[in-house]
Amino acid sequence: MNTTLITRSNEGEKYLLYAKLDNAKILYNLAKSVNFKEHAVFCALDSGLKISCEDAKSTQGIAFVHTDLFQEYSVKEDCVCIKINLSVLIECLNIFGSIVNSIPTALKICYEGYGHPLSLLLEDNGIITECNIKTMEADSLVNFEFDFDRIINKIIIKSEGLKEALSEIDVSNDIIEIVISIEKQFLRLSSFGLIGDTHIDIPASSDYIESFDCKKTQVNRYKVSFFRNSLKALVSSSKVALRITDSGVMGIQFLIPIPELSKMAFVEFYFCPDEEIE
Amino acid sequence: MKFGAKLINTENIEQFTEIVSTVNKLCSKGSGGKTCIIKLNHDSMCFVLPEFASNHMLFYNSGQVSFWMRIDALLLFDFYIFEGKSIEKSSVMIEILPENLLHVLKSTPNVKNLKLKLANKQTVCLSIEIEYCGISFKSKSRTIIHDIPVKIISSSFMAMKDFQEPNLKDTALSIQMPGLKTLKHMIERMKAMGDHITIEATKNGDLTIRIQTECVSVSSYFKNLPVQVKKNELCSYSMRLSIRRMNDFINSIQVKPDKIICNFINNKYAHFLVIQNGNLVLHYLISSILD
Repeated sequence: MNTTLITRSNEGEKYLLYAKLDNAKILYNLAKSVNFKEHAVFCALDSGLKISCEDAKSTQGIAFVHTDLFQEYSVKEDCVCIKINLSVLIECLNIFGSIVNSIPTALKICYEGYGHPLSLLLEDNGIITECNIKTMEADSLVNFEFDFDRIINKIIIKSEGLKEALSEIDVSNDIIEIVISIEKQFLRLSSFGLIGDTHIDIPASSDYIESFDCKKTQVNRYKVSFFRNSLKALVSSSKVALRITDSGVMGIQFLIPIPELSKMAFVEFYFCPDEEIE
Repeated sequence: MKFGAKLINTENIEQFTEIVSTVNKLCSKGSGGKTCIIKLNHDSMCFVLPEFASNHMLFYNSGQVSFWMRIDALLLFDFYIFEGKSIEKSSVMIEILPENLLHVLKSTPNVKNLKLKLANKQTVCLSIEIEYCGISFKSKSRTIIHDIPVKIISSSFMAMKDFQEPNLKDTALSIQMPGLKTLKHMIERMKAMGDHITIEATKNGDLTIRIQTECVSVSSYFKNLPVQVKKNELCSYSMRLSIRRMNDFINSIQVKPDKIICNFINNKYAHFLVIQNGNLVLHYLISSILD
């Protein structure tokens, strides 16, 4: 599907990637939600921008900014991938700060190609800031083998519910146990701390649960830090889809509303279960 | 010697608190201790760092800062009187910890009025008598006196000339900086990305604030800023400063300035001027980083 938009001006012609966003904050918030490591892979696809952040080949966070969130978007090749310092990108996007009730900061992204920096042009109230971020060769990201065909359990839960549940988790232990039970029809989050064990049960019938698609009871343990990496995304999201494959690999998808454009964006996190030594 | 000052107007009390808050922040970033010298004159108060007076704008190490501030006492205070001991000794210099003064001013929001004077209570003190509003409509107001120990600096130790307003006669170019809010935010973000900042100004009123590191280069372009060219030698002037020092300066300003001017004098330092309505003038100097 060719979703490459025809640029209205000739400006985008010489760039491999050219995109215009009327509100830089949109990209800023999405990029921040996956900034759990300093560097990220920035991919420009036909369908939009993908920012992927990975830690020790064990967890991945991906923010996707679809072309329909941009005012203009054009990419000359199928997939342009570069590695950049994501923390720096985020600071640049926020250079003007945010003053409530004012005209949002406009953003232009330009990338000429291999060897060139990623250029950001931000404009606010007549002031122009130009940022040139050094680009590096993109590392290959770990393949989580997140086979959508192998999803055993899928739960769609309202963000407030998951937020509340996670806030109750005792973080003295670095493991969280997730149980999805077909018999008991619930999602259970457990932590085993020094003081005692905490169990938070969210029944399938709860108002927070929008859909409970359970094929087999699963008990998996994950590092709390993996969930913590996704907190920013959780806070700005309205709904969360938890999907676990038969091997216990967790895929969390956050639905992030973009009220300014009455559109949605997606942020995903993937991680493997913790191997227990019993 | 006679000294007395009174603040009745809430706005003036707030403004004085903002000024002391600024002085406190400026002093806490100084290279010496956190004390400040206040020079009391018949119509003004000057705040100076003890090191400033002796070094007087000579920077031996880069990254040094200094400030000099004068407030128009007759305008700021609802009542102000200062008379020196004699014609020769027409002012007095006291060394104080601005932190203590700020603490007193911020102690409660229900200040009805406050009076300042110098008193001798075992040691010389700046005596602040604060009348607080009563808690309820019917209850009487309370008065509390705070005594802050100060040190009188003799004029033999420090010459009057050390307290003169820093001169700008060698300024080549003066340009008005962008608004404080924008500047504050920008400098903070740049601080997260690098250590040094370059400020460049042209005769046409264009100002560029730039950082350049191995990883990124960020340049902000401001156009049509009020500019004054005193020396017609170069088309543009630029200076390299420590972002941390610049950030300290911007964050110290707790008053609402009417304008902030950047003076390019020579390569040695950046001379900023923070002006509020003729009420207040703050000179802030940051020594530049030479390549």
